[in-house]
This record gives sequence, structure tokens and C-alpha cells, in this order.
Amino acid sequence: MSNTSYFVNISGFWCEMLGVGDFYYELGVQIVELCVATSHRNGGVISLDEVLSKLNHRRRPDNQVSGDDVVRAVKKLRILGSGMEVVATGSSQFIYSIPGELSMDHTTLLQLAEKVGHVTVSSAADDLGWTHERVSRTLDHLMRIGVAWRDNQDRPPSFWFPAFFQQCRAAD
Amino acid sequence: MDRWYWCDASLVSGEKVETSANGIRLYDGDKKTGYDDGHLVLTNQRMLWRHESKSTSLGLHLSLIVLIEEEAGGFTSSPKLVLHLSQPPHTQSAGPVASSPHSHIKLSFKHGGCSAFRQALQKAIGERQWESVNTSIPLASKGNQGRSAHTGILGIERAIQAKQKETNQNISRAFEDLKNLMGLAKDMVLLSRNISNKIREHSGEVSSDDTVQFRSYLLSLGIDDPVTRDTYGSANEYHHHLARELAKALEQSVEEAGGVMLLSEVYCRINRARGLELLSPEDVLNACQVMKKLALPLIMHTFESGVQVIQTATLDQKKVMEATMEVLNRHEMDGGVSAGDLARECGLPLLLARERLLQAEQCAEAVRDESSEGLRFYPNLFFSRA
Repeated sequence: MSNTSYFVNISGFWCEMLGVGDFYYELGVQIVELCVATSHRNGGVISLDEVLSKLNHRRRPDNQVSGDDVVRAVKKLRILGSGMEVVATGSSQFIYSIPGELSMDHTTLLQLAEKVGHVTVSSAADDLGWTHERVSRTLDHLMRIGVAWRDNQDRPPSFWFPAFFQQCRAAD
Repeated sequence: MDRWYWCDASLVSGEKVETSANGIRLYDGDKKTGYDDGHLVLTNQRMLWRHESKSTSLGLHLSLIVLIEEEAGGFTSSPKLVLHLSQPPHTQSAGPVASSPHSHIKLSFKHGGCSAFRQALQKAIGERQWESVNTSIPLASKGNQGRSAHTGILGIERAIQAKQKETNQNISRAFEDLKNLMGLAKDMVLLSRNISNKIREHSGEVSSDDTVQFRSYLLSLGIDDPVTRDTYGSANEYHHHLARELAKALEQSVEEAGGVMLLSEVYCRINRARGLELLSPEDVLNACQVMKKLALPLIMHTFESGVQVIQTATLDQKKVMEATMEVLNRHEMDGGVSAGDLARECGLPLLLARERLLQAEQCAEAVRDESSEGLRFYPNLFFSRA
């Protein structure tokens, strides 16, 4: 039975019928490549808006993708075990490509950071109602994985999040 | 419908034929009449409708036409002209219908020619040649006779109604198609089940090649054939084939990458190579999972953290460890090694570098230093220099 034409994947048949399979798988490839290319800068957290703008920049005007398309594609990529998932923080969504790294605390702090742009330990403690120690611990972890950067020139030191830089620029 | 009157097909003096059309059905208001498939002639004064089997014609004087509208056709309906008519004069001779509640008629053009006829009709009405000739029908004195502009509330209302009706028709047509498709699919499934049963009963008589071929057709159609499922399991054969394809396509790249490659990278590479008929992430995962069973040169490995990779089956874990330790030893004095450092030095993806360091720690070859500077690793000197 060496004739490979026998081996047709069941779901592939219907995907072809409906014409959706290749679209999402190709999109998945582009998303993975984009995350790999930017992870050194943002630690593996990239905003959905940035993904959309970068992807659509490369695509033809009549072949643009929507946020919904990206979310679906990322959901399918989860099982590859590279930690790809969509996380909603506040008003917008982010694509994480770091497996199992972030807890509720990290996400909550990121949510706050997305709103205000940058934080200090005290400002975050006030806004979230946490102890300074809890904020420090959370920020430490985020720094360790490269999602947060510390500006030591500020007194007290401030913390910035490259994943949100595009939004800061846009707000200006 | 009461504006039509019986006549013969002869033309009165001064009348000449402008155009004609076939396959015309007459409608009384919006209702079909039995006057179907007739030949319609437009003269400069009247319209004459006649069925080829009959000797008499129906005539309608153009002066009665107040407004002309066109209805586009669809799958099940032909294009139509809607003619709004004024009241017929008392002097008009008898027609097929004594009186009708409708003040408009429709002409349906089964064989096309609707727009051309409309243009000719508009022109004929515009010219009003019957006014210069003495005819038996008095002229109506409406000022907007024959104008086909969609002016007036009446025109707008009709247009809206027509649009709504068309939308409804389109929707039901769409569902008709879907219903038909579902009906067909049901038949197909039943048919294939029957055949499958027959094959099972007579398996001695049917050649095994035919059986296999038939079963694979069923598989490709997504029809659940119990025999196929028993023999092959759920789509397993496909993933075995894929696993071989992956191993063949990527063996060298994995070697070059140091013997280990993330599953997400495998997914990207194989799909970039394929170009068309891309694989889903599930397919890639399932294919990689059966690699070991097939004794292929690549196998899948899952780290404790959940990270999944493909690695060469002959990967010498010791060599990997030695390479990692070599980097750690080199940077022992200048701040240790982070995952990012190792990634850059060895040309690895960040996730893999991290796994290597964690593994070294697991084997007690390396120790970690967690601080706000990040997570860094150093060679484990507790055993060697204690």
C-alpha cells in the first residue's frame, strides 16, 4: 500500500471543502515566527495589536487578518507545547510564548502596567492594594524572564514593559 | 387583467410592429394567469399577446400604461416587467377578464429579452404615435404616462416591497440549497453503509484490493466505516505516514540545530516546506508522537515543564551536558550564565537554552542564582571544591 493518495486525513478533507485549514495553519506559522523574532525584546509577551500591525503590514491589502483570526490560530498552536496562548489583560489581549511562567499575580500586575505604562514598587502597591514585598517579588520574576525592565536612573527605580511600548507610542 | 381585450392579430392603419418577444406569461397583479408561453408583439400603439395554438390575440393599448418597472429574475423566476395601468375606458371591447382588483399587470420573460422590450416599450409610449392617428380608444390625460422613472410614493413603495420579497426569496432559496445538500449527503451515507455491510458479509468474494480501496475512499470522505476503524485505528495510518515524512524532511536540520528542535519550529519548517496542504498543529503533534514507535531517526521528548521537542534518536545527552557545562565554566567568574546568554552563545532558541540549564541543575552539575538580575546558572562547585 505504497500509494500515498490513499492517505487523506479526514479533517483535512473537510478543511479543504470549507477552505479554512491552510489559512489558519499559515497564519500560525507567521505568528510563531513573529514571536520568536521579538521575544528577545519583550520576553515572550507581545500585544495582539502589535501582532496584527506587523502581520498585516506584510500581507496584501485584500488579505488582511483580524484579531479574531489571530486568536483562533494561536489557540490551535497551544498543543505544540511552546506555551503559546492568548491572555486578556484589561482592555486588550496578549500573545504569550513562554510556557507556564506567569501566575495570576503576574497577569494582574501586567494589567495594571498596561493601563499606566510604567510602575514603581510603591505605585503598584497602592494601586493593587498589595504589600511592597509582593509587588517586588512579582516584578522580580517579570524582570527575570525579560517582560519587565528596570530603570535604575529613576529615584525610586521605575519598571517598564516592552510589550506595551507600542501602545505608549500610540497614546502619544 | 381587465385592460386586455380580445382581438385578432391584424394591425390597424398606422400601426407598425416595433419588436416582439417569446415565452411571455401574463400576470394579473402578482398572480400568474393561464396565459403562458405566448408571443408578445409591441406595436407603436398596442401590445398584442398570442399563444401559437390560438387564433385570437389579447391586446392592450399603450395609452393605459402609467408606469413601467422591471423586476430582476432569480434562480426560479424570470425577469418581469410590471406595468401599472389606468382604468380602461367603457368603450373598450370585451376581454378575458371582466374586472380585476389589480391595477397592474406583469409580463414574465422566460426566454429573456426583458430589458430590450422595456426600452422599446418606453420609446413607443414616449412617442405616443396613437395620438396622431384616429384610434378607437380615447386618450387618458395623465401627464406622466409611460414615464418609467421611479417617481412618486407608489413607485417607492413598490420598490421597497419588491426588494423585501426578493430578499425573502433569496433567503429561502439559500436554505433550499442547503436542504438539498443535506438530503444528498444522507443518501450518500446510507448508500455507503449498505455497500460496506455487503462487503463485510461477502468478504470472501470481493478482492482485498478493492475492499481496501473502497475503505480508503470512505475514510477520505469522513464516513465512519467500522471496518476501517478496526483495522487502522482512528486516522493512525495517516500520522504514521506523516511521521516518516517529517523525519525525512527534518533530520538534517535537527542535526544542524544541535540535535534538538522545538515542536513549534518543526511545525513552522514543515509547513513552510510544504507550501500547500498545510498540516494542523494536531497532526504535527500526533505524527511526532508515533515517531519512536516507528524507529525513526528522530523522536519526540517532553520536558518536565511541558516543553515539547524533536531530537535525534542518537542524541548523546552527555555531549549536550558537556557543551552546557563548558559555557558555564567559561563564565563562572563573570556573572554566570542566563538562558539568554546560553541561547546566544550556542545559537539555541530561548526555551531550549532554559531547558538545558534546568537539566544541568537536575543532574547537579549546575546551580542557580535567582535575583532581581534574573535567573543565572553557575557550575556546581559544592562537590568538586568543597
